[in-house]
Amino acid sequence: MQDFIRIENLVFEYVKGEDNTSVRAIDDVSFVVEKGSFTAVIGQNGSGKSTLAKNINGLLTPTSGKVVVDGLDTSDHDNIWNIRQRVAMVFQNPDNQIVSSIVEDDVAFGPENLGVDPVEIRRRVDEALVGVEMYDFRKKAPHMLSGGQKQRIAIAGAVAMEPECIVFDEPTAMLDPRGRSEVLSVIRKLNRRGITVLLITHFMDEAAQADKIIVMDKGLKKIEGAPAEVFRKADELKALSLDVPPAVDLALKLRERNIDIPEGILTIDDMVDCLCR
Amino acid sequence: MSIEVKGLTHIYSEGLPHESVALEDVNFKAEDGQLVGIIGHTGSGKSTLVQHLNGLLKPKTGSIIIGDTDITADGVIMRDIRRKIGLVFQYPEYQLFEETVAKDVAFGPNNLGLSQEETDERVKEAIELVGLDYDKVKNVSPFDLSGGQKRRVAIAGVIAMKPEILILDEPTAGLNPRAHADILNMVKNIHETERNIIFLVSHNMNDIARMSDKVIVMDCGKVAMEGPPAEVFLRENELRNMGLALPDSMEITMRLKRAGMDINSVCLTMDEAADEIAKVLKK
Repeated sequence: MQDFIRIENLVFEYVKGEDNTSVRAIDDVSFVVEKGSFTAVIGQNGSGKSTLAKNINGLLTPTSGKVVVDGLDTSDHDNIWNIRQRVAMVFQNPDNQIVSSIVEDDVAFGPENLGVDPVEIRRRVDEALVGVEMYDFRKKAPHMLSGGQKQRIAIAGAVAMEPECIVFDEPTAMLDPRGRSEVLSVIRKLNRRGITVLLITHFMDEAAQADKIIVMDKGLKKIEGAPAEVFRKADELKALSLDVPPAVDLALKLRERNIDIPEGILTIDDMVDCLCR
Repeated sequence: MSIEVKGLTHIYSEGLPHESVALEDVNFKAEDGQLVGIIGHTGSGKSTLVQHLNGLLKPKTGSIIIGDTDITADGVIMRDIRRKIGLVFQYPEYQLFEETVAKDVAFGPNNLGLSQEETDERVKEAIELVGLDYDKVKNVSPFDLSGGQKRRVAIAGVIAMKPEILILDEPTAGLNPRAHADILNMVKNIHETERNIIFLVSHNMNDIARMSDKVIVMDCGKVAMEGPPAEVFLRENELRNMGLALPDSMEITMRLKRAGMDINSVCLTMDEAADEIAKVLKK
């Protein structure tokens, strides 16, 4: 598969206000994100996950090293708008991302700013709202919606820009169980339609659904691999203040109780299949 | 200390076209030493309820009796109520403002008009109770701490008021797994030390199952269920219809049961689930 994002020896430092010391938030990180893939980034608070995300669409640019999106280097200022058309971002708190008092106006905000033709905007907004299953709410006021619904509106806003990639920075952290599963199913649907997804999350069961997981700690990339490989390293993850998904946790506990559970169990479905075969 | 909520009803924007009933005839009781979990999906009335408990909102009808004071009665001095009831909002770390951790935690007790010695003692106690090293952090700016530590400082500020009832609204939201576990241990520790009443509002069913003596399930402004977690989480279909989920351990055991395994599905932690599964498989 083709690489969509190439991160090469990325270093990002920021300067602390008071004493002018520089802090290295990302320390020599390299990896690639393939076109159409689903990559999850996990790591404890302060591990550099969000800084990494902001480096991908040029909200931040590297101190050294390189981030190349679809052949465009983020350090070259002339590329910024092209990059942001290709990579949209969705943040943790939907209330901070919604700008309009009517759902469909909010979704139209992005394409309007890209100078898209009004007829085309109408089409994109409708399609995006159908995609996140919020079309029936198009005339409503966002503040009357639930957290999960608001987050789906924020996602529709990103989708209406027709980006090739969406970076989600802990999009489910503030949601209840239903909102969380709604948002995750929308993310998976977008990915199946070909959108490249980068998901930053604290929920290990969400990360387990990705093609690849990147584990960050103190600005360093600690582990990179398929979920089955990554979650095999339970001890290493625990040492990084992380955890394993529920089914993996149960598999470990059953093995401690001398029950033979095969490797590669990641989801509750896998576990039920394995135990009730 | 005890708290009793009787016939509590609250209506937002009453008389206006968009009026909505946020709470309708809510009744429950909690007593000393109980940890009460409150669950319900977004918009179910949890936050409105919690804001009534420390008098931030006044009910349309009904009463809240704390000890032997009805806090909804006319002429009650709210300052006295808020001394007894500590409310920790979601993302409380955004409320930190002082130059040092010790000053931030001291803000509440200072406003109670306590002596300097008493305040200092409470601050030290509270900081230690939330699991931070007093001597290490007291002179540090709260803004230089990690997310989980900041949150603990914010909670210490409420604990230092020595509330008899402590309400924690989503205390683990947005934390990584280790910080999450640390906060829960902290809540347990506070509960065991202070023997106070704790209300824990959470979307995390694992935490609710493990921590609560009693669970109150809110739905459409009403108490839909009330009981020990082992009873509440058995009502799977009702919970799902309310947009709620089961703890992961029971998510698995219920599925196994449906797939034909003869298993006791009431397992509030993953260890209990592993024990039960092992028991069945070794038969």
